[in-house]
Amino acid sequence: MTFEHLTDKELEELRTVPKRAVNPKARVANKEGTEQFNYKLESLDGTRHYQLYTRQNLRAGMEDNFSCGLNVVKPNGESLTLCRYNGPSHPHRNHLEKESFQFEPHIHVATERYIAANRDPETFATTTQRFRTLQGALHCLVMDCAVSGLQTTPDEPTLFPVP
Amino acid sequence: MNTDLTQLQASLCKAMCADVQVLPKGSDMAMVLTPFEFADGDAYQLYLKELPGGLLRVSDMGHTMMHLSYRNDTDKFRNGTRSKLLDRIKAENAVEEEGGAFHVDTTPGELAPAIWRLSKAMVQINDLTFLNRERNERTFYEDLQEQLMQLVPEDKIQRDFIFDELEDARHYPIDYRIQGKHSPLFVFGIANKDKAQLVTIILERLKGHRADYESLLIFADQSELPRPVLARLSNVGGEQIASLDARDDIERKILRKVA
Repeated sequence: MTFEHLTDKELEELRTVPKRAVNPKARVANKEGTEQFNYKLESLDGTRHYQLYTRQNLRAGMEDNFSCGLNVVKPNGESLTLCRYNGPSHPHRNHLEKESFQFEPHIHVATERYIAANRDPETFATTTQRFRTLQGALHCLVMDCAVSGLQTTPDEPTLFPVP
Repeated sequence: MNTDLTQLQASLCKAMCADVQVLPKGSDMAMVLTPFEFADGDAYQLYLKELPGGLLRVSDMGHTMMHLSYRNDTDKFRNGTRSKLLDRIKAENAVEEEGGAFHVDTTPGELAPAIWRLSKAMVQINDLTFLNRERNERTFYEDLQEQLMQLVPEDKIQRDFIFDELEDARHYPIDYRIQGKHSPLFVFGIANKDKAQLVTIILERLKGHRADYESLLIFADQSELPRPVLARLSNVGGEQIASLDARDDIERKILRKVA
């Protein structure tokens, strides 16, 4: 698998192939004010290896600064971010599309277009109303990427849009 | 220059100002939006807090290290070369660090240069990710090839040489075969423990086959290899060069043997 030549179809397959957590009881780490969980995953056929991580900034006023993501990992340790679910703490710009949005929860996905342009593969992002918290984001990621073995809880539905 | 520089400056200032916003964040902070962003399109996160004495603190509130942690173990920025570089970046930009958050304390009148300094430091800190192992290894093999090609005429060097007389020879490639004065010189680049073990196996097989060759082992950093791995390799390998920095040694050892 060469990361430089992955197509959108292959990227989607890597994201959605059923996988299971190898270390579902991974310990929490508090590193420099960020709460971190790092899970190892593998595809059910055992041929692909992944990392799933969650990050929550623990500083006062930074509750909206969270992220969770899925990386595929080659045997030599090289990794590629397949998707990342971010809190609304910052604006984002899709360079190639020349479009941007402000403070909204958003989902980054790796795309063939950005790989071909030699940009960060996961630059492309779209806004979402599906989560407001890290737990909600993790639930969406686990559902979208067919991850089993991790207990997650969706965010409660809200009548009001995310501010 | 024929361009009206005054007009150019005015339009530049206007455009850059349009990219800067200061927005409230909670009850005791403000967020400063600048044109700076991570390679993935996410904006740099810069926050303002009031300090006693009328000072302001511009801080990333720990986001830079958090962003780095998505694909890196941030402990590695606290040891060795990366740690030294991180300290240098902070010193050069007069940026302080507290518990993983980078900040600059300043007066309101000096806010703009403080923001530039912190932003520049964040760009440089983010660039430390280019020092990851896999990239370093790739660079090592590219640099090794470049050095060898400068020393040895193209017609006397073969890359990824397969010694056909070995069983399953294609599984035991030799990085470079150089035509030697008496026997061929097999050169191996060794960037990590796995490669060291593979080269040990290849050399053992060559030895078992009583092949006629000399070998030269060039390491990315010999001191990083576990001692037992290095000992096993040394038992079967020939001359060694501890790192590509020893250019004179490489030149001397190769030119002495090349035909």
